[in-house]
Amino acid sequence: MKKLSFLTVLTFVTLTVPLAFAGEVVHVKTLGLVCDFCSKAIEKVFLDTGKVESTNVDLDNALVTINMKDGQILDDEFIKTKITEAGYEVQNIHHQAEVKHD
Amino acid sequence: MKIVHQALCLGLLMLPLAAQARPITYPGGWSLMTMNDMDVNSAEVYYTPDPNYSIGWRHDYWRDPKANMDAAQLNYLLKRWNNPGSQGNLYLKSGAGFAYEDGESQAAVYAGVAADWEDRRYYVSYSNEFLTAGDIYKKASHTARVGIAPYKGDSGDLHTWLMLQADYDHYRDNEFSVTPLVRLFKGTTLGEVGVNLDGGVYFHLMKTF
Repeated sequence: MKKLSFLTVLTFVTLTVPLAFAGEVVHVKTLGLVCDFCSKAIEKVFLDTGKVESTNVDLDNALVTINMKDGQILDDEFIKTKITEAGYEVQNIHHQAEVKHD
Repeated sequence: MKIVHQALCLGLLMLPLAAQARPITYPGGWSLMTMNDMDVNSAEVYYTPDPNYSIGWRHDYWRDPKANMDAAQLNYLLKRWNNPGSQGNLYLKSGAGFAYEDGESQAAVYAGVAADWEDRRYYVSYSNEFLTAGDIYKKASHTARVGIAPYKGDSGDLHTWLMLQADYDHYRDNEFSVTPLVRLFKGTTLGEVGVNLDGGVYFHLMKTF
């Protein structure tokens, strides 16, 4: 009976609480990011990892936003390597654990 | 007039080194390029396996003399300067193959440097190329450009550049030319069209996959 009650509560919580942890969002401040081609190069090198859902490039602020797939992470050294491969340099990296409201 | 041309050539040589379009893209990137002007129709395909170099193939059709060249090409990134809001690049371009004219073929080799600097408003570039194909064709060219973007496009926008290109080739009859042109750039597609001061049309299209 206790087990049944626990499962009932767990099911209720799962169905009613609208919080779920989604992929991490990484913000990368860069150097050398000046053209539209940059965003395509960034997108190419990160999507090829299979861990990234999407990327966005803000040329005004030289900021790359990397939206990770659920449960995936990239360490800073790897991110620096990929940004360099795309042709640019990293100034700083900020990781943000995203909580998605379904 | 010869002195003026020589002075202009010297001036071009003294400019910071620069280039027309990036000969190296990103790892795994394929690029297709065509360029047509009064002297040549040119097509290139190249692949970038590494951020520092690309390999490819180039075909030229030269109008005077009427001859063709096929060559394997190697482009190497010598130096890149990434700065807040700007980027500069210095490349070494080289190739080797064969030139063909009236059933005769001769070995062809070429080399040159290309460099560019740009921010989101201004652009400057210089490139040169020294090519020899035996008795068929010779080239010693210098190309310099300045450009300005009338607006700052963001990622995904259509980017527009107004440019002025100066060309000098020691071996051509019409050694020096100036070409005002428009560059349109969106995503990985680049197109340029211009008309030089002698009425010659310039057309350039590049797509990276």
